[in-house]
Amino acid sequence: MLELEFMRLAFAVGIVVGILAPAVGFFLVERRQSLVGDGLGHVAFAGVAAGYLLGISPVLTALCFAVVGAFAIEWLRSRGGTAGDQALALVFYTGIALGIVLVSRADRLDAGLFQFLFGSILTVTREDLWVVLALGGVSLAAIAVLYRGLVAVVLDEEGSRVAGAPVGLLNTAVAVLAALTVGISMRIVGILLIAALMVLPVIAAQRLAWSLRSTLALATAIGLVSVLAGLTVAYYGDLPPGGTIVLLAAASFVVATVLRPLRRA
Amino acid sequence: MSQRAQLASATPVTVREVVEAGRLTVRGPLGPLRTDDREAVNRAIGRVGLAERAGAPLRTLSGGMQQRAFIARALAAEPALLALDEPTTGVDAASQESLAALLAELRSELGVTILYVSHEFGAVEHVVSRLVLVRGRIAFDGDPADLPALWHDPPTHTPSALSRVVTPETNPGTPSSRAGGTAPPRSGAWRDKEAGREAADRQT
Repeated sequence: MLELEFMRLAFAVGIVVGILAPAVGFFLVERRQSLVGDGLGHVAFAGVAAGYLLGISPVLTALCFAVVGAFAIEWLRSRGGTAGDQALALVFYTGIALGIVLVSRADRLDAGLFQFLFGSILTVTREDLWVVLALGGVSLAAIAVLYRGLVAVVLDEEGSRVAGAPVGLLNTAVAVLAALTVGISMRIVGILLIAALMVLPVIAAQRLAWSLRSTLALATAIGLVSVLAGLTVAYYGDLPPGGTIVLLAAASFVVATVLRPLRRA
Repeated sequence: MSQRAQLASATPVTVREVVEAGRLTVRGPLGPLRTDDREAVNRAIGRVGLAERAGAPLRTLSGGMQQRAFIARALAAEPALLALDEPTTGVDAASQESLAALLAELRSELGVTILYVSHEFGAVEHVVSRLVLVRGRIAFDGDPADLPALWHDPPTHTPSALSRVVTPETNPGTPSSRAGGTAPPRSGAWRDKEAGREAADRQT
């Protein structure tokens, strides 16, 4: 299958997505914000619709919408006087409502939209690959540099603030990283399922890991294997890649749960 | 610094990772820790007697040991003042004894000042160098040895009982409690801003 150009592109993007999504999701899950990725995915849906309406790249507009949504969630959570889940609900539903109105306005309730919602292996272009490599590289570098600060906030947000850490900036950084991940991953996983790839590998990894570092390492490994195996199964089974990848990630949770007693013994 | 795990119980984190977070004050949030940071982390872990459990997940440790891990996190920043708010809540008697021994050791070996705020000071009483009892105002301020003997009687040895005994306007009290009322500061040197807490014992 790798002799096909579109499969090579899908695999190249898949490697970046498989590593980046769980790495960003790690900080969301540990801070009990597992659903932020989902909220940003719905905002990205509005972005795709806006791209259709304006006649420009839906990936670009989705990325912009997701970043704005990330700032909105973080702002509402920290200064807007709303609880985390309420902030998420506001952004989440506004996103999907705006999306459906814009899509209908653009008269694009069609198969093309379906590919953005649930992913497709056929649609990755060379230009997409460069964007994914650039943004993915920047995001992974940012995680490496910010790792210690982000972990400190995960362990004790209040204490980190007292210790003089820029907690607001670090929280915003996580939200923006989540938005970038949504934008990068939407081509192959789809905007409705990308959040699952951010969260499920981390939850599975937690069942087997003994430290934060091992959770992160295991989660990225599970994410990478899920994406590459999912693309392969999708290719041979003629299945939508997003759904296949997420089902494999969910299966990893079952496997981890079964293996857990063995590790303790 | 919080002295309790605020994490979801599913979060796997080792003692070392918790203590490393304490270096944030010194090193800032960017980039990896350096050699001297790692040495400070190792010293702090060894100081609280958790060297052999440094790589163990926090959730596998007892409550007393988890508390030591959080004290190590504070020590990793090499502080001049360690402030502990109700550190014995939910910790068994044996762990309270070893906590008192640890605090005495930190004071004598590191010269760190410890501000210990609690409703009960039984376990640390013999290592306290200055005791301040507060209920609305300072009810006692001085060496715990000078505390009136009445306060050590079991029936009155509760915070509320203490307060009643030492606060004339809320309780006319017995002649003995009046006699044992507010102990005057031994010297002007005892005056300081930190005294305005609920009940504060201070070791210097």
